[in-house]
Amino acid sequence: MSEIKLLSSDQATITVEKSVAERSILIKNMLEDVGEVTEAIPIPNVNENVLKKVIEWCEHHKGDPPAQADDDSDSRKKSSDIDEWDQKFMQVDQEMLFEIILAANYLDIKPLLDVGCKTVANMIKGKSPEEIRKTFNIQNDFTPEEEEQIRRENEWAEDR
Amino acid sequence: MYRNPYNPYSRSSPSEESALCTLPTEISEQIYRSLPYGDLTRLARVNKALYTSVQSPLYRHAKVTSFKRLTLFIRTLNSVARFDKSGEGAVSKHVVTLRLTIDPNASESESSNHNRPTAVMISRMIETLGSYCPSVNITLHIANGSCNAQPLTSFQQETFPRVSTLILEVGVPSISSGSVSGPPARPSSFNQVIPGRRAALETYGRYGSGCNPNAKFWSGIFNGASFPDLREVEILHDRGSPASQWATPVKFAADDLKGLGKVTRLVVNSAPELNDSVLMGALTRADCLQRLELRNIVGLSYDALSVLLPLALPNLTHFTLHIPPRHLSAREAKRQLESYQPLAPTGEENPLPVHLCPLLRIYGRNLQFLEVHAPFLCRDLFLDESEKSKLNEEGVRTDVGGLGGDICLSRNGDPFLIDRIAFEQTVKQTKDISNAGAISTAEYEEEQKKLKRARTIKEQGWRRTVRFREGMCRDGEAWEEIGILARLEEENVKWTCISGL
Repeated sequence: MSEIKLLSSDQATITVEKSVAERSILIKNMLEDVGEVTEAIPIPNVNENVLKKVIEWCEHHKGDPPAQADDDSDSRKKSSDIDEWDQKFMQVDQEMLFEIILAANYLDIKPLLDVGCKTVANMIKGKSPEEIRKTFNIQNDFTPEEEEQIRRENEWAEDR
Repeated sequence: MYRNPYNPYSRSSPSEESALCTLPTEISEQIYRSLPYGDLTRLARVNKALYTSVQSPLYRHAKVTSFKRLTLFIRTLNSVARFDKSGEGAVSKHVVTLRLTIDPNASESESSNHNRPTAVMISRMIETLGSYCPSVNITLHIANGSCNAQPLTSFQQETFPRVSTLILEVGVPSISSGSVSGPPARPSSFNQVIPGRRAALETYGRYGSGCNPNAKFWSGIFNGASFPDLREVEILHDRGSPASQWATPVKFAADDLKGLGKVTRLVVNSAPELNDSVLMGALTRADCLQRLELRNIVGLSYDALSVLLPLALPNLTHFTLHIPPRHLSAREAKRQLESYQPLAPTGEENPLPVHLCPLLRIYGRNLQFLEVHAPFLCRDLFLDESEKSKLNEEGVRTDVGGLGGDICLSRNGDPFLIDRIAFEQTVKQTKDISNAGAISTAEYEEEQKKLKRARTIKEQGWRRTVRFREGMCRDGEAWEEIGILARLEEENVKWTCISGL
């Protein structure tokens, strides 16, 4: 069983099974281009904690079939279809959640990015603007008049 | 460290910019794809950064689901345009595609001013949208509409620029038939009609909802002026009106169907407005048509279809034809086919039968997708005359079927079956001989063409589905034969043969 090393942005070296690391299309393509590597592959945008978390996800999903091509046909995707293990995996603080999403995007791990995005969507769903602000610690920089104006502007799309 | 009591997982302080507001566009758009419009509108009110980032999912590919919402949508575009002129930095709405669904019979409870969605009002709003977003692509979907009421009756008088797809779900009977601008008098559904009038209304809907073949209906859609950018049309009519059987032939003026020349996809389901005369009038004008779907059109005869197939099929990539069960013309064609004497002179006593199967085989050869549901179909979908002669010469019997192709039983109760091995061998040989002849005489380019065709079939995944609704074209033909023939067809073309309604 071949293994490779990954070097995180904070200079930590992590050894991982090659087949696990290849869940990342970025790493897979890199290995295909350079062939056998003995030195650690630098992952400059991802720190050790996040990288370990991403590897944990890749290990759990290493036997999954390749992701289906997304037809991206504007049909609103269901955000509720996250499997149980992934739901638990995503129960982290918000900082880590967004770091995982960014790492999945950088490493090109589409299914992980998908799960991350659905998790955030679920945190938004059904909440009022004030509840969203509280959930994500966002400052309201609108005046009440501006907020009312935006509500009116998007009235055509509001729930009945 | 500050910990948000509302979200114990949160660690950032309110003074820091939230990660949600600073995500790269491709990630935030993926998150928004999972959210309904209602959530997006609430996100827009959270702060300025999120307001900006939801503009694209809200407006770029907008879906407006009612007439009232359309009026609000246009109000927004107008007010944003006013902002822009005043230089106060409002973000312009950039609408790339708009799917607009309007139900002319919808309950007006949501509308304060009781405005009906007439053609003139829809047209004005679409023109306004087009003036702000000149490259917008609009799908106009009239749901639950009536053929003889607004907005359809006034399509001809109005212009709907940038509408590239028109979907008409029609057939709801209109009490105020022909009314162009009268007050709303129609029920939003059958249940809302006064009980005493329901029987009359039901009869009206079933036996003549005013839907008849007429030039106005078609020219309102295809005159080229009302919908100048039209490319795809779906007319999905409620089933049940046989009005077309008593209709007088329709004649079109020169410009009535000018716009049909640009249409690439046409779907017509159950529309009594379509009959032979309409089809003949339209046949030579649809130069760009690639996909044609005709389902359950009572008014189309086999005579008209036999003219349509040779003209249309060679230019199409997708063709769907569903002929309703117990179709009179289908029965007449079967009767003619069975009584035809090939050696006797053709005339009133011995009319030349109309047979669609060989036409589908010959002219549908290059279709990527073919779906035919017909009361009667037969082996002529697969075999030409020389192949049938060869089978006869070899003495391979295939006439072992009963009435309509059913299995026939012998005296001791065993079914008569085709000699599969002999049958397959003969058909294969015949096809191989014709191929061998082609190879020996054809040029190198011919060979290349064949290879190219085989590659194309594989890449595009060609499919054929045939449903024998009632049976075979001639009694005595065997359903069993069809399955064998389908398996012997061109490699990689997937055939599905179904028997029954």
